[in-house]
Amino acid sequence: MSRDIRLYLFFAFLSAIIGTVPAVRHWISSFLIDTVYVPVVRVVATAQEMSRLKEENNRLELQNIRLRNQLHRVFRDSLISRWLDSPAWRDSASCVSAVAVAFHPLGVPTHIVLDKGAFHGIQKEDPVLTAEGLAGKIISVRPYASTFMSIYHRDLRVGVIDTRSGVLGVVHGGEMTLEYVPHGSDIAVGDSLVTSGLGRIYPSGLPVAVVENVDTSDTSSMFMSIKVKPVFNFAGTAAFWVVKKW
Amino acid sequence: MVEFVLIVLAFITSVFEARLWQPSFPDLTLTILLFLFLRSDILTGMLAAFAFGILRDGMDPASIWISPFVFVTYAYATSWLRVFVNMNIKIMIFIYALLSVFAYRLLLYHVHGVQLKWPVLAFASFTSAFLVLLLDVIFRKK
Repeated sequence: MSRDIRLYLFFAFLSAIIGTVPAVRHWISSFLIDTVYVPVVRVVATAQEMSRLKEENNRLELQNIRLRNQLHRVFRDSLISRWLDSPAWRDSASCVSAVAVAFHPLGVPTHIVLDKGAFHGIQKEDPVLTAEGLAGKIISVRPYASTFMSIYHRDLRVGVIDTRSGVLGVVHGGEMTLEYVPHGSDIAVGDSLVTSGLGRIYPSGLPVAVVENVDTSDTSSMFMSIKVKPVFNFAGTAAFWVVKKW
Repeated sequence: MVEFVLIVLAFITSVFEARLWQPSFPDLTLTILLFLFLRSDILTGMLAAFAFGILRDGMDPASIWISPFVFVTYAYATSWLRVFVNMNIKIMIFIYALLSVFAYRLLLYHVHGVQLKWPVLAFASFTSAFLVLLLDVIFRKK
């Protein structure tokens, strides 16, 4: 008897035994369903579930973008209305226009002397504005002159808020960095930063700076390293407004 | 490599075929196995026939379990057929597949008590035979 026929008889006999004994059939069937069919069906079901979840995720992402855009619009409108409603704009008498009479140092001025002082109602810590936005704050007042510390001074700190995402931070003058913004915050290059109004020194909504560079590589620090560019351009600016009793 | 692909295909079809079987469906597991018998040696063919026959019928507790026996018989018969018939000729492959599926179908209808409908039987048999030809075209030895 050749090897092939022996092989055939062996498998045929085995098949016949399995096919005719119900207990063996039942046991093999249960075993195969539990070990092969159910896991395969689970894999298929998981794949279908993943596909469904992906679609759901896409839908929610779109919804999230729509809601965020809506929130940004509301936030922006709120800032605009708050700023327009603030006493500084509502009452022109609360703003004092002043002209710079001296810059110190001459390169990048950190102190600028104005031609208006206590006689015109200016007080210490009053914010100073230009047409672009915040320029600094008054640090010393004399009867007919006052000096303000510009945004380029390293001791100046301004509490700001990102108009796009609402992230809060502090602009560090001099170094021109945005501080205390934790990793993972929604900050992007080109974002506008306006005063948050939380420090009670500056009215809210004043443009301060624009985000220039975001570096998230330094994970040893709790906060991101963000460079900003101030909106105050000292070159050629001689006219200022000092906001008083805001 | 081709044998491996065929075995994977046979595994997939044998897992689902018993659950999804309809009288007009082609017998995918048998189709793949028939082509495998033509390409592989008898031991591989027998092992695959026995394993996938059990897998196919084992997935359905109501099955009568004739597939392992039929597949093993086909594997042995094919090994003999290859000795006497040139199985590289397409028409021979087609006739071989057609007759094999036809016989298996008749047996399935009989043991499952399904009413015999010749158009359905012919459709399923011809579809299966064409699938074997298609496999031959796809996996033809260069």
